[in-house]
Amino acid sequence: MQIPIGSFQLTQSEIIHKEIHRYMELTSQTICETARESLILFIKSLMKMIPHLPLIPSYRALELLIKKNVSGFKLARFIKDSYSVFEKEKLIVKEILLDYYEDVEIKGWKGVSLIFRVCSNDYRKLLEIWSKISKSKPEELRDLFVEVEPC
Amino acid sequence: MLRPLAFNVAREFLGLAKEVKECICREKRVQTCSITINQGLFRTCISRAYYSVFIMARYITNLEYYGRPDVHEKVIKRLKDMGLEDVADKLFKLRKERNKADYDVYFNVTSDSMKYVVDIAENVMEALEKMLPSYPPS
Repeated sequence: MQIPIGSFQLTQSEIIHKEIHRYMELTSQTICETARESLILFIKSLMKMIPHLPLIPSYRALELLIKKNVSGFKLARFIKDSYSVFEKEKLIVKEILLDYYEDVEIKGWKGVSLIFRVCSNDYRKLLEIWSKISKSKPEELRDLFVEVEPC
Repeated sequence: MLRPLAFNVAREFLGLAKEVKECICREKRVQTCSITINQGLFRTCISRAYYSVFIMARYITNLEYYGRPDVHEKVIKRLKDMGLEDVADKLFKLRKERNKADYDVYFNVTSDSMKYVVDIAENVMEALEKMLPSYPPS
């Protein structure tokens, strides 16, 4: 898949690699070595499982996941399995975001959402798949919120 | 001079409130009741969709007694404890959309995004209603 960026044409995978590099640089400056290793393991696992995965992780989301000791491998496995559910239904996942959330009214309420942006206007189907994915969330990832939205 | 977006959204909220008041108080004949379709309407719709589900979820999770602001977070946590991961995730999404609708004036709410939010709310409400204790047959 080709995405025009300025005068260059970068593949999705090149974009992801660039992003990963950026996160690794940021992470090495701000959080401890173990957390950094966990993050790298997570990204590497995902890249191995789905090389063309359109994943866009927010740095603050990753940082929060690491602070909460979320298993990078479990998360990678869950993303892969959820991605497969959409593939089975012949739905195109345009983006997968790991998004940081902080509530505007409730102090201290923060969380991470795993958002699947799916190319479909069949809301009923999207809501059904969403329930299926949420219910399949492993116990270790119960702090993570799952969202499915049309794009 | 351009008016700030906050002013527009604020006026639209008030405009909608006035339209409803005018209809209810019969300041206008019922036949002439009208609602203007704008950001104010979409945002109000999203906000009400969230609160409709939140109120039901708060009842199901036995948290009606809890009057602190963090009740919204507590309800979602309790739903997770009850094993209702899907309902918790969807209520969280509704919460996010409600916060955007009520606070982020620079975010453009489309009719499509409003429709999706209302569909989520209906879907969650259905799931929650199934959990209500059934009334004894009359």
